[in-house]
Amino acid sequence: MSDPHQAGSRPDAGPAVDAQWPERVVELAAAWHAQPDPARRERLLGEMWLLLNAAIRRYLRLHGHRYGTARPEDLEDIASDKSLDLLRRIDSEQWNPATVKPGQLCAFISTLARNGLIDHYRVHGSKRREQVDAADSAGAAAPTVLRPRVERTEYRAERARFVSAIGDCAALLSKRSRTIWFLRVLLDLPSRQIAHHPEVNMKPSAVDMALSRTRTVIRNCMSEKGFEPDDTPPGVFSALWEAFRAELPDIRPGEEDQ
Amino acid sequence: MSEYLEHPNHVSEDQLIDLLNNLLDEKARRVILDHLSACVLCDEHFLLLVRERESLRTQLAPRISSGEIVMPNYTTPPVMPLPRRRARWVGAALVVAAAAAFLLPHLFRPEVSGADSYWLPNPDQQTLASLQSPDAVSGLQKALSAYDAHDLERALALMDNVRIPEDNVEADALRGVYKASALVNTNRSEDARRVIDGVDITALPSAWRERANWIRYLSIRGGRHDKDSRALLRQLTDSPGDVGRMAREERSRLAGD
Repeated sequence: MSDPHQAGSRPDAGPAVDAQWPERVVELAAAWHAQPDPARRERLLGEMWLLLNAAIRRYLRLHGHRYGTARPEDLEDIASDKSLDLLRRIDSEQWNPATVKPGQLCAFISTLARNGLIDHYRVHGSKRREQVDAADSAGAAAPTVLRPRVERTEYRAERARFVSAIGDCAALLSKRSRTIWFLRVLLDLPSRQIAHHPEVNMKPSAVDMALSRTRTVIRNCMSEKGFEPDDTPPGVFSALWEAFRAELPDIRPGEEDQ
Repeated sequence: MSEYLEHPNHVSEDQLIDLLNNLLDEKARRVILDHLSACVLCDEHFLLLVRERESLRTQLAPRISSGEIVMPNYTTPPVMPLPRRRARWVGAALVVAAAAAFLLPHLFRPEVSGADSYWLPNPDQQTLASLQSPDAVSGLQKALSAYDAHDLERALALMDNVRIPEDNVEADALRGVYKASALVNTNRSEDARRVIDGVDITALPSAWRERANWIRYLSIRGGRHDKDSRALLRQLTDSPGDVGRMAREERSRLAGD
């Protein structure tokens, strides 16, 4: 593994694309300080919150991989605490990302994540860590099958056909139903969480009812196209996300921050 | 996940974060997506990131309160108590009376100019009865009367005030279609589109789904969604009944323009 602080600087990695998120954090922080409108400030805050959370989790995973893995719910808590801490520092101008280079920003977030992980183990002791390690060892005992890096053409064609069919079938649903279907079937989020999603905003019982109907519609439609519910081929998630991302709108760069 | 982290040929998590946050230009986005389509582990890791992000979005984001950034707590909306059995029967009886009083005049309503864009669905008694709440029946009845009298601002206000239990998606969808129709007829097409997009059309009886799509067409025609509206109109010309007829007439009219 190359230097964890250098985002996107892995010459041996797959596609050579420089990471953009550190610069986006810098832009957002600058816009946050310059923006007088409270509603827009809140939107900027929301986007920074999502981005900082993702960045901290990225480094928590990296350090967890080196120093010991925490449970997912613990990682979530640490990421949440540290993101909030960072936002408060930005707000009080104790820390101004606009004055640092993207590499320094990554180093700072990396340190923050590592310290968060160490503090977490200090507070909760090593018991949880041992539990996680034991679980990992049990998992490691199973032989790992590396899937082929390059796959056969017919798999790709079949996957493309599947994604196209799902897209056609999902077009029969309302926007909200499509979102619910995506959040449950592909992301496996529970109804209670889906109900609170900003694009859904329903009660959990209503989510369940909508989901039941939606599943029937998709199942029937896919059957007509010659697919069975269990046909979902591996590796189609990114293609489905691409097809569904219009249902999960968020702030787009340059739209709301200026 | 560790397998993903260990492998040097995988797309980096930084790049996945960029993809997820729409920070890549089209060319870079294509490169990453092509890689994901061939790398199952990367695809799985991307799923994890999307899940984390959308899960985070289901929680309330930090807010500014009294000049400080704070984490708000969930405030679960109050759950409306279920009506008692007797109240349901009273509600059902009211619904039948309301539906009869409301439907009869419309069965004989004469065709008027522009009536195609002034959609009035024929709500069946079963759906109205499913409201299971005298307040809802009474509120909807008033809203429908205002709608019928073309007093659309009042109709919209009344529709917003109708208290429909949130798990009653059929009734909610019905109200949504009425509301969108009222918005179309007050030239608020964008609002109408937003409302109709939020309607769970699959919750409606099949005949009304066509009506709902017609309202959707009316809300997007002539706007910046022209390509979508033409495709939808083409689809609706195959519909049976009034919607198919209106769609075919509209298509002929557009061809003649």
